[in-house]
Amino acid sequence: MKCIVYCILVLLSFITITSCNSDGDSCDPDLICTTVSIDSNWVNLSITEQLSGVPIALYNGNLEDNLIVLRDTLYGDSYDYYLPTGIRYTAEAYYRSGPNIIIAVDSKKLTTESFTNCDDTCYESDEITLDLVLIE
Amino acid sequence: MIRVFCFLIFSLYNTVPYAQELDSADTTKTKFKLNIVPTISTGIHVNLQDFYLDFGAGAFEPKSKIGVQLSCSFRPFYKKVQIHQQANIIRQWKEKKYLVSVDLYKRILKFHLSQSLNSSFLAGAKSGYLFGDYLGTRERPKAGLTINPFLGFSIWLNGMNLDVTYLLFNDRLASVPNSRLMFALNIPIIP
Repeated sequence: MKCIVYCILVLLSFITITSCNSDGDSCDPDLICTTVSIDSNWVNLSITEQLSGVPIALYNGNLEDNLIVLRDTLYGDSYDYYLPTGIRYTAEAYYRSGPNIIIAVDSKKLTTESFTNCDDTCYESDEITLDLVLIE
Repeated sequence: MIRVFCFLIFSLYNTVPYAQELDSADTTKTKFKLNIVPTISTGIHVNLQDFYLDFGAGAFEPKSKIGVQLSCSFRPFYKKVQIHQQANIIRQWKEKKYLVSVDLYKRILKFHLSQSLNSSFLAGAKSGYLFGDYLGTRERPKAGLTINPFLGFSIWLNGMNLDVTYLLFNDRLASVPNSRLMFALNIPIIP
């Protein structure tokens, strides 16, 4: 019975610690704050390099939406595109493997988040990597 | 591997009637009374290429040593998988999977690992509905019912059972072996 109580206490502590957010009244004057809304950021495509190049297609939303942002052929193992935030991007890479074609797919949302610091609204956005590298 | 598993299950279950016969010598005279202990459990099942987290709640009947629980297992990350879509076209998706299952198990042949450690063998099956999703598409992995037997042993650790079992888990992926090790803490809630 004691063990169950300990388990529940550990679980509750973990939930409490992980759910803590800084409140809106906090102020850190040394914090670098971008007050202009971030409307674009980098989308990195990571691929398995092939000598003949790897055709890729980048979509807005899911593949079924068929909203193509761009098509390209990549000759390195990664490439960056500067694209609008607030959108889910899905990428396809087409690899030749003997008689087969392997189509690798990955998808992520490019987000912008805002928070308040010293009465300023600060914006931050993390670039994303779409991992189209083949399974070894 | 499957043949070894079937042999072990067969061998263990052959001993069950004998164990029950010993128990029943005492109990036939007494009135049958169902004594159910609620249980909660948490664990993982893992092999070198994949792992699932597992949570469950259920009940255990100490006299028959049979337990049943409703479990939810899931892969907590997106895993790259390759699926043959057409004759020469293979899709590499990022996949997450979930299993909602009813786990039926029996603890058999109690034995002592040491003076303070009581153990028993454990056999059962996780039977349920396996489903999932892929990133970037509305297409989904093939869902359906699965029955996944497990066999191993259980150690009583002063208030909870540590179950270590071999699980034959068919997650419908050719690239991931079906053999897994399952580690679970099964906690009886005794007031």
